[in-house]
Amino acid sequence: MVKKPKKGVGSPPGAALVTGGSRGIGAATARLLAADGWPVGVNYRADEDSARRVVAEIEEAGGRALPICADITDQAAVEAMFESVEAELGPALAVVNSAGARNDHQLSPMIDDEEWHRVIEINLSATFRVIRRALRGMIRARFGRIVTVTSTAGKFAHLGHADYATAKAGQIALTKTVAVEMARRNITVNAVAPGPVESDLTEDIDPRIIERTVPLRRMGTPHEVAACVRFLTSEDAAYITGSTLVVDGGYTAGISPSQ
Amino acid sequence: MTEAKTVDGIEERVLEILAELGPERDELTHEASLEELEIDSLDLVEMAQVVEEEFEIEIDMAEMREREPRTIGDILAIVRSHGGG
Repeated sequence: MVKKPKKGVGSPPGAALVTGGSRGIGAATARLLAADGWPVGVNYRADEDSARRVVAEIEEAGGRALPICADITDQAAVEAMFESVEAELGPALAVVNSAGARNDHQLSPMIDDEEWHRVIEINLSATFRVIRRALRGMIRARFGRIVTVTSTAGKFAHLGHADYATAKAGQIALTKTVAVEMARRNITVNAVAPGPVESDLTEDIDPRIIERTVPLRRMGTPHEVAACVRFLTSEDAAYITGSTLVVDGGYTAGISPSQ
Repeated sequence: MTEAKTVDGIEERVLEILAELGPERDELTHEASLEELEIDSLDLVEMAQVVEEEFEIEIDMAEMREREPRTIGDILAIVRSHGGG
Protein backbone atom coordinates (compact mmCIF):
# COMPACT_ATOMS: atom_id res chain seq x y z
CA MET A 1 0.00 0.00 0.00
CA VAL A 2 1.27 3.53 -0.86
CA LYS A 3 2.03 5.55 2.24
CA LYS A 4 0.55 8.95 2.83
CA PRO A 5 3.04 11.82 3.26
CA LYS A 6 3.83 12.76 6.82
CA LYS A 7 2.54 16.15 7.87
CA GLY A 8 5.25 18.75 7.62
CA VAL A 9 7.55 16.56 5.56
CA GLY A 10 5.69 17.21 2.29
CA SER A 11 6.70 14.13 0.40
CA PRO A 12 3.91 13.24 -2.02
CA PRO A 13 2.80 9.59 -2.07
CA GLY A 14 2.85 9.19 -5.84
CA ALA A 15 2.83 11.14 -9.05
CA ALA A 16 0.75 14.02 -10.39
CA LEU A 17 -0.82 14.22 -13.82
CA VAL A 18 -1.99 17.47 -15.38
CA THR A 19 -4.06 17.34 -18.55
CA GLY A 20 -3.61 20.37 -20.75
CA GLY A 21 -0.33 20.88 -18.96
CA SER A 22 1.56 22.48 -21.83
CA ARG A 23 0.21 26.00 -21.35
CA GLY A 24 -1.82 28.42 -19.28
CA ILE A 25 -3.29 27.24 -16.01
CA GLY A 26 -2.19 23.64 -16.66
CA ALA A 27 1.45 24.60 -17.15
CA ALA A 28 1.42 26.85 -14.08
CA THR A 29 -0.13 24.00 -12.08
CA ALA A 30 2.47 21.51 -13.25
CA ARG A 31 5.26 23.84 -12.08
CA LEU A 32 3.72 24.36 -8.66
CA LEU A 33 3.01 20.66 -8.07
CA ALA A 34 6.58 19.85 -9.06
CA ALA A 35 7.79 22.45 -6.55
CA ASP A 36 5.82 20.55 -3.92
CA GLY A 37 7.77 17.42 -4.76
CA TRP A 38 5.29 15.68 -7.07
CA PRO A 39 6.79 14.01 -10.14
CA VAL A 40 4.51 15.43 -12.82
CA GLY A 41 3.11 14.02 -16.03
CA VAL A 42 2.59 17.01 -18.33
CA ASN A 43 -0.09 16.01 -20.81
CA TYR A 44 -0.48 17.74 -24.14
CA ARG A 45 -2.43 16.98 -27.29
CA ALA A 46 -0.45 18.71 -30.04
CA ASP A 47 1.87 21.39 -28.65
CA GLU A 48 4.90 19.23 -27.90
CA ASP A 49 7.33 22.16 -27.85
CA SER A 50 5.41 23.91 -25.10
CA ALA A 51 5.08 20.72 -23.07
CA ARG A 52 8.80 20.06 -23.32
CA ARG A 53 9.49 23.64 -22.21
CA VAL A 54 7.37 23.11 -19.10
CA VAL A 55 9.18 19.84 -18.39
CA ALA A 56 12.59 21.51 -18.88
CA GLU A 57 11.66 24.34 -16.50
CA ILE A 58 10.57 21.82 -13.88
CA GLU A 59 13.75 19.82 -14.24
CA GLU A 60 15.95 22.93 -14.11
CA ALA A 61 14.29 23.76 -10.81
CA GLY A 62 15.18 20.33 -9.48
CA GLY A 63 11.87 18.57 -10.09
CA ARG A 64 10.83 15.57 -12.16
CA ALA A 65 8.46 15.70 -15.08
CA LEU A 66 7.49 13.82 -18.20
CA PRO A 67 5.77 15.12 -21.32
CA ILE A 68 2.89 12.82 -22.33
CA CYS A 69 1.12 13.19 -25.64
CA ALA A 70 -2.50 12.06 -25.47
CA ASP A 71 -5.79 13.15 -26.95
CA ILE A 72 -7.99 12.75 -23.90
CA THR A 73 -11.12 12.38 -26.01
CA ASP A 74 -9.73 8.95 -26.96
CA GLN A 75 -10.24 6.25 -24.31
CA ALA A 76 -7.24 4.23 -25.46
CA ALA A 77 -5.04 7.33 -25.29
CA VAL A 78 -6.21 8.02 -21.74
CA GLU A 79 -5.30 4.46 -20.74
CA ALA A 80 -1.87 4.77 -22.35
CA MET A 81 -1.32 8.12 -20.62
CA PHE A 82 -1.92 6.65 -17.19
CA GLU A 83 0.25 3.65 -17.97
CA SER A 84 3.09 6.02 -18.91
CA VAL A 85 2.78 7.89 -15.65
CA GLU A 86 2.62 4.68 -13.64
CA ALA A 87 5.63 3.20 -15.42
CA GLU A 88 7.86 6.28 -15.33
CA LEU A 89 6.78 8.35 -12.33
CA GLY A 90 4.65 6.24 -10.04
CA PRO A 91 0.91 5.84 -9.35
CA ALA A 92 -1.08 8.89 -10.43
CA LEU A 93 -2.52 10.07 -7.11
CA ALA A 94 -2.95 13.78 -7.88
CA VAL A 95 -4.82 14.37 -11.11
CA VAL A 96 -5.67 17.80 -12.46
CA ASN A 97 -8.12 18.21 -15.33
CA SER A 98 -6.97 21.40 -17.00
CA ALA A 99 -7.49 20.59 -20.68
CA GLY A 100 -10.31 22.53 -22.23
CA ALA A 101 -11.59 24.17 -25.38
CA ARG A 102 -14.18 26.71 -26.36
CA ASN A 103 -15.84 27.58 -29.67
CA ASP A 104 -16.21 31.10 -31.01
CA HIS A 105 -18.98 33.26 -29.59
CA GLN A 106 -22.32 32.03 -31.01
CA LEU A 107 -25.84 32.37 -29.72
CA SER A 108 -27.53 29.03 -29.08
CA PRO A 109 -29.63 28.80 -32.29
CA MET A 110 -26.41 28.97 -34.30
CA ILE A 111 -24.45 26.23 -32.52
CA ASP A 112 -24.43 23.12 -34.71
CA ASP A 113 -24.22 19.55 -33.46
CA GLU A 114 -20.55 19.13 -34.30
CA GLU A 115 -19.54 22.27 -32.40
CA TRP A 116 -21.69 21.27 -29.42
CA HIS A 117 -20.30 17.73 -29.22
CA ARG A 118 -16.70 18.93 -29.59
CA VAL A 119 -16.93 21.23 -26.58
CA ILE A 120 -18.84 18.69 -24.49
CA GLU A 121 -16.33 15.96 -25.40
CA ILE A 122 -13.18 17.91 -24.62
CA ASN A 123 -14.39 19.68 -21.50
CA LEU A 124 -16.77 17.20 -19.88
CA SER A 125 -16.63 13.69 -21.30
CA ALA A 126 -12.83 13.66 -21.36
CA THR A 127 -12.76 14.87 -17.75
CA PHE A 128 -15.01 11.97 -16.82
CA ARG A 129 -12.77 9.46 -18.64
CA VAL A 130 -9.66 10.78 -16.91
CA ILE A 131 -11.35 10.70 -13.50
CA ARG A 132 -12.70 7.19 -14.08
CA ARG A 133 -9.24 5.90 -14.93
CA ALA A 134 -7.56 7.82 -12.12
CA LEU A 135 -9.90 6.32 -9.52
CA ARG A 136 -8.67 2.83 -10.29
CA GLY A 137 -5.28 3.47 -8.71
CA MET A 138 -6.56 5.86 -6.06
CA ILE A 139 -9.14 3.41 -4.72
CA ARG A 140 -6.45 0.79 -4.14
CA ALA A 141 -3.98 3.31 -2.74
CA ARG A 142 -6.60 4.68 -0.31
CA PHE A 143 -5.51 8.15 -1.40
CA GLY A 144 -6.29 10.58 -4.17
CA ARG A 145 -6.52 14.24 -5.05
CA ILE A 146 -8.58 15.18 -8.08
CA VAL A 147 -8.97 18.81 -9.08
CA THR A 148 -10.85 19.96 -12.15
CA VAL A 149 -10.40 23.41 -13.62
CA THR A 150 -13.96 24.38 -14.43
CA SER A 151 -15.16 27.99 -14.85
CA THR A 152 -17.54 30.59 -13.51
CA ALA A 153 -19.29 29.89 -16.81
CA GLY A 154 -20.50 26.69 -15.16
CA LYS A 155 -22.34 28.62 -12.45
CA PHE A 156 -23.85 31.57 -14.31
CA ALA A 157 -25.06 32.41 -17.82
CA HIS A 158 -22.25 32.73 -20.32
CA LEU A 159 -23.63 34.44 -23.38
CA GLY A 160 -22.51 33.02 -26.68
CA HIS A 161 -21.12 29.86 -25.12
CA ALA A 162 -24.01 27.64 -24.12
CA ASP A 163 -21.97 24.57 -24.98
CA TYR A 164 -19.01 25.62 -22.85
CA ALA A 165 -21.24 26.70 -19.94
CA THR A 166 -23.03 23.37 -20.02
CA ALA A 167 -19.81 21.40 -20.03
CA LYS A 168 -18.39 23.49 -17.18
CA ALA A 169 -21.55 23.05 -15.11
CA GLY A 170 -21.30 19.35 -15.78
CA GLN A 171 -17.76 19.31 -14.40
CA ILE A 172 -19.06 20.85 -11.16
CA ALA A 173 -21.79 18.21 -10.81
CA LEU A 174 -19.30 15.46 -11.61
CA THR A 175 -16.96 16.84 -8.95
CA LYS A 176 -19.64 16.71 -6.26
CA THR A 177 -20.88 13.24 -7.11
CA VAL A 178 -17.47 11.59 -7.36
CA ALA A 179 -16.41 13.35 -4.15
CA VAL A 180 -19.25 11.81 -2.17
CA GLU A 181 -18.78 8.39 -3.79
CA MET A 182 -15.07 8.23 -3.11
CA ALA A 183 -14.66 10.01 0.23
CA ARG A 184 -14.36 6.71 2.12
CA ARG A 185 -11.18 5.96 0.20
CA ASN A 186 -9.54 9.22 1.30
CA ILE A 187 -9.96 10.59 -2.21
CA THR A 188 -10.89 14.26 -2.37
CA VAL A 189 -12.45 15.68 -5.51
CA ASN A 190 -12.73 19.41 -5.97
CA ALA A 191 -12.93 22.04 -8.65
CA VAL A 192 -11.52 25.49 -9.22
CA ALA A 193 -13.72 27.94 -11.11
CA PRO A 194 -11.71 30.76 -12.63
CA GLY A 195 -13.32 33.90 -13.93
CA PRO A 196 -11.51 35.86 -16.63
CA VAL A 197 -7.88 34.69 -16.67
CA GLU A 198 -5.09 35.68 -19.00
CA SER A 199 -4.86 32.87 -21.54
CA ASP A 200 -5.27 32.13 -25.23
CA LEU A 201 -8.98 31.54 -24.57
CA THR A 202 -9.41 35.13 -23.27
CA GLU A 203 -6.99 37.12 -25.39
CA ASP A 204 -9.87 38.60 -27.43
CA ILE A 205 -11.66 40.09 -24.42
CA ASP A 206 -11.78 43.91 -24.32
CA PRO A 207 -9.90 45.05 -21.17
CA ARG A 208 -12.48 47.81 -20.63
CA ILE A 209 -15.14 45.15 -20.08
CA ILE A 210 -12.96 43.56 -17.43
CA GLU A 211 -12.49 46.87 -15.64
CA ARG A 212 -16.25 47.41 -15.59
CA THR A 213 -17.31 43.93 -14.52
CA VAL A 214 -14.57 42.57 -12.27
CA PRO A 215 -14.40 44.27 -8.85
CA LEU A 216 -10.63 43.77 -8.76
CA ARG A 217 -10.57 45.39 -12.22
CA ARG A 218 -8.23 42.98 -13.89
CA MET A 219 -8.00 39.45 -15.20
CA GLY A 220 -6.47 36.79 -13.06
CA THR A 221 -3.21 35.08 -13.93
CA PRO A 222 -2.65 31.38 -14.55
CA HIS A 223 -0.41 31.32 -11.49
CA GLU A 224 -3.19 32.63 -9.25
CA VAL A 225 -5.51 29.85 -10.38
CA ALA A 226 -2.77 27.21 -10.21
CA ALA A 227 -2.04 28.21 -6.62
CA CYS A 228 -5.60 27.26 -5.74
CA VAL A 229 -5.29 23.92 -7.51
CA ARG A 230 -2.06 23.31 -5.65
CA PHE A 231 -3.74 24.08 -2.33
CA LEU A 232 -6.49 21.55 -3.06
CA THR A 233 -3.92 18.81 -3.65
CA SER A 234 -2.08 19.63 -0.43
CA GLU A 235 -2.38 18.09 3.03
CA ASP A 236 -3.86 21.35 4.29
CA ALA A 237 -6.91 20.74 2.07
CA ALA A 238 -7.51 17.19 3.30
CA TYR A 239 -10.91 18.13 4.76
CA ILE A 240 -12.16 19.79 1.57
CA THR A 241 -14.08 17.70 -0.92
CA GLY A 242 -16.95 18.20 -3.34
CA SER A 243 -16.34 21.94 -3.38
CA THR A 244 -15.75 24.49 -6.11
CA LEU A 245 -13.33 27.28 -5.31
CA VAL A 246 -14.17 30.41 -7.26
CA VAL A 247 -11.16 32.48 -8.36
CA ASP A 248 -12.61 35.45 -10.22
CA GLY A 249 -11.64 38.78 -8.70
CA GLY A 250 -15.15 39.13 -7.33
CA TYR A 251 -16.75 38.81 -10.78
CA THR A 252 -19.60 36.57 -9.63
CA ALA A 253 -19.93 37.97 -6.11
CA GLY A 254 -22.21 40.78 -7.23
CA ILE A 255 -22.48 43.92 -9.33
CA SER A 256 -19.20 45.78 -9.64
CA PRO A 257 -19.30 49.18 -7.87
CA SER A 258 -18.01 50.78 -11.07
CA GLN A 259 -21.24 49.95 -12.97
CA MET B 1 3.33 -7.45 -17.76
CA THR B 2 2.66 -9.80 -14.83
CA GLU B 3 1.01 -13.00 -16.04
CA ALA B 4 -2.56 -13.54 -14.93
CA LYS B 5 -2.84 -15.71 -11.90
CA THR B 6 -4.61 -19.02 -12.28
CA VAL B 7 -8.29 -19.09 -11.42
CA ASP B 8 -7.64 -21.73 -8.75
CA GLY B 9 -6.50 -19.00 -6.42
CA ILE B 10 -9.25 -16.55 -7.20
CA GLU B 11 -11.63 -17.44 -4.40
CA GLU B 12 -8.95 -17.04 -1.78
CA ARG B 13 -7.74 -13.80 -3.38
CA VAL B 14 -11.28 -12.37 -3.38
CA LEU B 15 -11.57 -13.18 0.31
CA GLU B 16 -8.17 -11.57 0.96
CA ILE B 17 -9.31 -8.39 -0.80
CA LEU B 18 -12.56 -8.27 1.15
CA ALA B 19 -10.66 -8.84 4.39
CA GLU B 20 -8.53 -5.74 3.63
CA LEU B 21 -11.72 -3.72 3.82
CA GLY B 22 -12.29 -4.39 7.48
CA PRO B 23 -13.85 -7.76 8.19
CA GLU B 24 -11.77 -10.44 9.85
CA ARG B 25 -10.82 -13.23 7.49
CA ASP B 26 -12.72 -15.83 9.51
CA GLU B 27 -15.89 -13.72 9.31
CA LEU B 28 -15.97 -14.20 5.54
CA THR B 29 -17.94 -17.42 5.43
CA HIS B 30 -20.13 -18.22 2.45
CA GLU B 31 -23.23 -17.45 4.49
CA ALA B 32 -21.94 -14.16 5.88
CA SER B 33 -24.13 -11.16 5.08
CA LEU B 34 -22.57 -8.29 3.10
CA GLU B 35 -24.73 -5.85 5.03
CA GLU B 36 -23.55 -7.11 8.41
CA LEU B 37 -19.95 -7.05 7.20
CA GLU B 38 -20.56 -3.48 5.92
CA ILE B 39 -19.32 -4.41 2.45
CA ASP B 40 -20.94 -2.06 -0.03
CA SER B 41 -20.90 -1.26 -3.74
CA LEU B 42 -17.62 0.68 -3.59
CA ASP B 43 -15.95 -2.31 -1.95
CA LEU B 44 -17.30 -4.56 -4.69
CA VAL B 45 -15.98 -2.18 -7.36
CA GLU B 46 -12.55 -2.41 -5.76
CA MET B 47 -12.78 -6.19 -5.59
CA ALA B 48 -13.77 -6.36 -9.26
CA GLN B 49 -10.87 -4.12 -10.27
CA VAL B 50 -8.34 -6.33 -8.52
CA VAL B 51 -9.86 -9.48 -10.02
CA GLU B 52 -9.65 -7.91 -13.47
CA GLU B 53 -6.02 -6.84 -13.01
CA GLU B 54 -4.72 -10.02 -11.44
CA PHE B 55 -6.81 -12.68 -13.17
CA GLU B 56 -7.76 -10.87 -16.38
CA ILE B 57 -11.41 -11.65 -15.68
CA GLU B 58 -13.83 -8.79 -16.24
CA ILE B 59 -16.72 -8.72 -13.78
CA ASP B 60 -19.84 -7.23 -15.34
CA MET B 61 -20.91 -4.77 -12.64
CA ALA B 62 -24.35 -4.31 -14.14
CA GLU B 63 -24.90 -8.04 -13.85
CA MET B 64 -23.53 -7.92 -10.31
CA ARG B 65 -26.18 -5.32 -9.41
CA GLU B 66 -28.96 -7.31 -11.09
CA ARG B 67 -28.12 -10.46 -9.17
CA GLU B 68 -28.32 -8.48 -5.90
CA PRO B 69 -25.67 -10.37 -3.94
CA ARG B 70 -26.42 -10.54 -0.23
CA THR B 71 -23.74 -12.92 1.02
CA ILE B 72 -20.09 -13.71 0.50
CA GLY B 73 -21.22 -16.89 -1.22
CA ASP B 74 -23.26 -14.84 -3.71
CA ILE B 75 -20.15 -12.78 -4.55
CA LEU B 76 -18.03 -15.84 -5.07
CA ALA B 77 -20.71 -17.39 -7.28
CA ILE B 78 -20.76 -14.27 -9.46
CA VAL B 79 -16.97 -14.29 -9.78
CA ARG B 80 -17.05 -18.00 -10.69
CA SER B 81 -19.71 -17.37 -13.32
CA HIS B 82 -17.36 -14.91 -15.04
CA GLY B 83 -14.73 -17.59 -15.45
CA GLY B 84 -13.29 -17.51 -11.96
CA GLY B 85 -13.00 -21.22 -11.34
